[in-house]
Amino acid sequence: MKRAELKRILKERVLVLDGAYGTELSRMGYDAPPEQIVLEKPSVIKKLHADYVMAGANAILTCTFGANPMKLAKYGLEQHHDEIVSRAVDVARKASSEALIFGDIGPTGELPIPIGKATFDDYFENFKRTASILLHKGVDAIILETFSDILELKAATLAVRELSKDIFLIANMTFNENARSLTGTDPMNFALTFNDLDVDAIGTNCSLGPQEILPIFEEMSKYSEKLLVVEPDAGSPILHHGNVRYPVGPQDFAIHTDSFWESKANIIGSCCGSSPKYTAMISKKVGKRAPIEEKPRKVFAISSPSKIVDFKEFVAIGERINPAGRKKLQMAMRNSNLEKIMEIAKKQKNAHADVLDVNFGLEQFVSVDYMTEVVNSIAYKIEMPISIDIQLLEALEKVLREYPGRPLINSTRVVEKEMLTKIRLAQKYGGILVVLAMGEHVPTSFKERKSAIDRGLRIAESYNFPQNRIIFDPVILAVGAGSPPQDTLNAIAYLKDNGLKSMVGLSNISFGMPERSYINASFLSVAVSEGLSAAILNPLDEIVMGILRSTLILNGKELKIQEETKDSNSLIGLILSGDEKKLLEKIDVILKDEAPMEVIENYLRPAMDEVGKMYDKSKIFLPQLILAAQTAQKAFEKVQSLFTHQKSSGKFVIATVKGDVHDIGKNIVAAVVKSAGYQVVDMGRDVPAERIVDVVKKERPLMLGLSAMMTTTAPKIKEVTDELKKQKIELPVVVGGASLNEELAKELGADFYARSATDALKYLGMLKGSKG
Amino acid sequence: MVRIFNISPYDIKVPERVIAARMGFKGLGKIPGEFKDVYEKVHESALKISKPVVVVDDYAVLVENEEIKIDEIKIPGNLARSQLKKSVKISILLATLGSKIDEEISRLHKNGKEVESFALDAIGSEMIEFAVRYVDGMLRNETELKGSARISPGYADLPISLNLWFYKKLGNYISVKCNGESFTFVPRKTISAFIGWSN
Repeated sequence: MKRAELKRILKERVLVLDGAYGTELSRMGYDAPPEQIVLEKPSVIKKLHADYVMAGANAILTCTFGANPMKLAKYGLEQHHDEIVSRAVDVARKASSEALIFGDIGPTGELPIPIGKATFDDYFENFKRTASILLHKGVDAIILETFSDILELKAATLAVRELSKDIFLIANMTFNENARSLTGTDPMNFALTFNDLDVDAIGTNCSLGPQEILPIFEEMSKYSEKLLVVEPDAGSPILHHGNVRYPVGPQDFAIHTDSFWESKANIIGSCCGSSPKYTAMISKKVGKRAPIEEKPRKVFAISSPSKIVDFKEFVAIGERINPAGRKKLQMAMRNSNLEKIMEIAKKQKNAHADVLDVNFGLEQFVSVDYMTEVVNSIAYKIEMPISIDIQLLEALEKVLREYPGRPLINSTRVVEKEMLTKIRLAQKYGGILVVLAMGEHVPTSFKERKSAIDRGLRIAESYNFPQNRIIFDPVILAVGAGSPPQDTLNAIAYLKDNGLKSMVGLSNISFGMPERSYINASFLSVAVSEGLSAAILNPLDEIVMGILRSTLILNGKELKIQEETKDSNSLIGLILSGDEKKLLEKIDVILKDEAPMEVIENYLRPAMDEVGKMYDKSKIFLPQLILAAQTAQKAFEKVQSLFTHQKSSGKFVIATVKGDVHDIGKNIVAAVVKSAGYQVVDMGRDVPAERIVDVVKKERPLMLGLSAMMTTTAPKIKEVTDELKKQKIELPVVVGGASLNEELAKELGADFYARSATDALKYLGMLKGSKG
Repeated sequence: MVRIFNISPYDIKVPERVIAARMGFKGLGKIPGEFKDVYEKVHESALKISKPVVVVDDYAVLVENEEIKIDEIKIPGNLARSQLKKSVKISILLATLGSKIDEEISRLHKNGKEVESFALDAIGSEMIEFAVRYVDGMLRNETELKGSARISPGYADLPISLNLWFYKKLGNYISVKCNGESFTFVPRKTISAFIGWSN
């Protein structure tokens, strides 16, 4: 079957894949590996295939999971490789009836250099040999299964694609319960890395039962642009009286089918411990359902095997692995000294670089194998994503091909031939491309930079390379040579206004000048404020890093959570722990030195603000926010009871609108607002507009909060805002609920839209501030 | 023929992971230790006060120009077309946990027990979903026909206004009402669904 045809079928319906072979054969009493049984007792395999087809499998896998030459060598069967693979396809075909045949390829069992001994080419040639026979025998698709290392899977993918652009290709990884592969890759990283590669589907199989694999599959599904495959085990194996038993039965297994479907699964199967009974149950559940289509989240990020760096926060890229002007480093590179480079890499990591730029200077004197070794050693061992700053095409291609994750490719000019070459590399091997805002010549003005950016976008589009895989370098020139930095700053602002990412090589600005740190830091501060996304800089320069941190704070960007929160006896720690007793004791201690109002203004409210920020930044979960609000509220009540006259920060009226009976979201907002010392008038759910307005007139709150969960109840918000206008009541209104968004909130006459439980609190703070 | 399935709440096995995700513990796969006691207490209470019941009826289908009709209504939209258009019959399901769980969620909120109220709401939402899955599995086992995915009004482009029709057809069997303007059910932990059956 052609690739396009299978893709078309999968757009229309969810397919069922078969189940386990190895564990099922073992249960039947066959101890030899399935690949050996294919040769010696093909009828057993054929019967199992047929049973799976009878049970409702739309596709069966050839018994070739362990049939790649490197794996077969472990059983002394490598000389039979071609025969095993060929026979396995024949056996599957005889049993397949109308089911599709997927050629199965598993991992080698060897880890890659630098954490193991296998080279990329070992993998590549190994998988190519197996894939070539599977393709020659006419399988309908190839499935790469149970890979626990992202580089090995990439090698297998590239090997298959070198042989055929026309075969449907599935790439599966296996993860442990902590949602990591053996070498540290998580599902999001896997999805992002493989979005760039030429596979049709990605997925996960083995290692976990359906319940445990589901959150991993859901995470992958959020970010993947590919079709999705899932094949859980029948639970984690249990040793029972010397026999291995899988605890999840067919019925319990199949109940998860809906959850996989809801998470956009296109192919559902089962793995170790399953049998045709499982396939029958899955097939019953899947029936003739069509898959769900939903666009994945867009993330601008790069990765090493175990770390993702997302450019939604400012990214500091270490510049120190660059021999320009550093003779010792130059010599180390020429002598293939890895230790020296790793030392520099570690120092930069410790100095809070997020990514490392790797530049080998005069590349013709450096071994290409060494370049790969450096890049992969940093990526695997120091866990840093890499900006690959290599100019020699042959070297760049090798390093990119063998990179274990999603790198930055640094860089190309906007010269069509050069740009196309780099785009083709990125399309084949993955990565985000750094595009310099310049053509053949160095730009001398903002206008020239803008023109290069616009042209770069046009070229990328014409070669089907998406904007979200490009980051522009607006080109910094040395200020000492008379180049005005304002042109670069204007280009950064232009990129930001157009929703594009930008990065610069910071140190160029001060080239040839004294006091370089100050110039670099000052420029960086202004550039970050203009919207710069990332900079290649010296993370060991404390002036630059200090100014960077303060600039980010001033711009309201990523501010590291205070260490205080880790202390369980701190105010925030007690609030988060829900320990009311200890919190009230702590408040008693503070009250000995401070007046009640000071306790609220200087202790409790800032603590709750910090908790709110932690929630907004996903540092804590929603139940922790609710628990914190519930706990802090007790402290507020205690302190407020000490006022001689009732003092309040102001009132907040909240209600779920008429016709809507959902109130959990409204309840959470009420609790969070109350916990910050505001007096909350909670009107409950299903409240008519007239009653809300009456209460507003009576209570005279700082703000009114309205909740509507349904698209059918959202218009009721307008009834309230219209009534307020009609009665000439000037009152800010904040709205929230699943059916709303910023735009709709405005249309409905609201002043603010609350995306999360803490937004209402922020708006109240603003209003309180503006009223003095 | 209308069939009513009364299910013991103890037969509804909602994985902890699912409730953890519903409560907002995304990516953890379990309820963290500090919330375990609350979860267990509230879960036990949910099992005691829930009365899961699912009512099912089957309808013949008329498909004309890709338009799906059962009884006197049209089931419009791409979701319905993708899942139901090849059906020879359609089962309709209305399921509820009853009103006590609603009352308990409100009582906890009024008493300032926000975490418990929130957890009970999350557990209830998943219990009703898994009650329907339970019956869904039984229906699939008793027929040779191929079932579609189970689809519910309010999801994708399947209009929520269909809930009113569900209420009219099945509401009286299990004491469920529907708001004529917002089309939400009372009690809150109530859901409706279609399953299409094809050859």
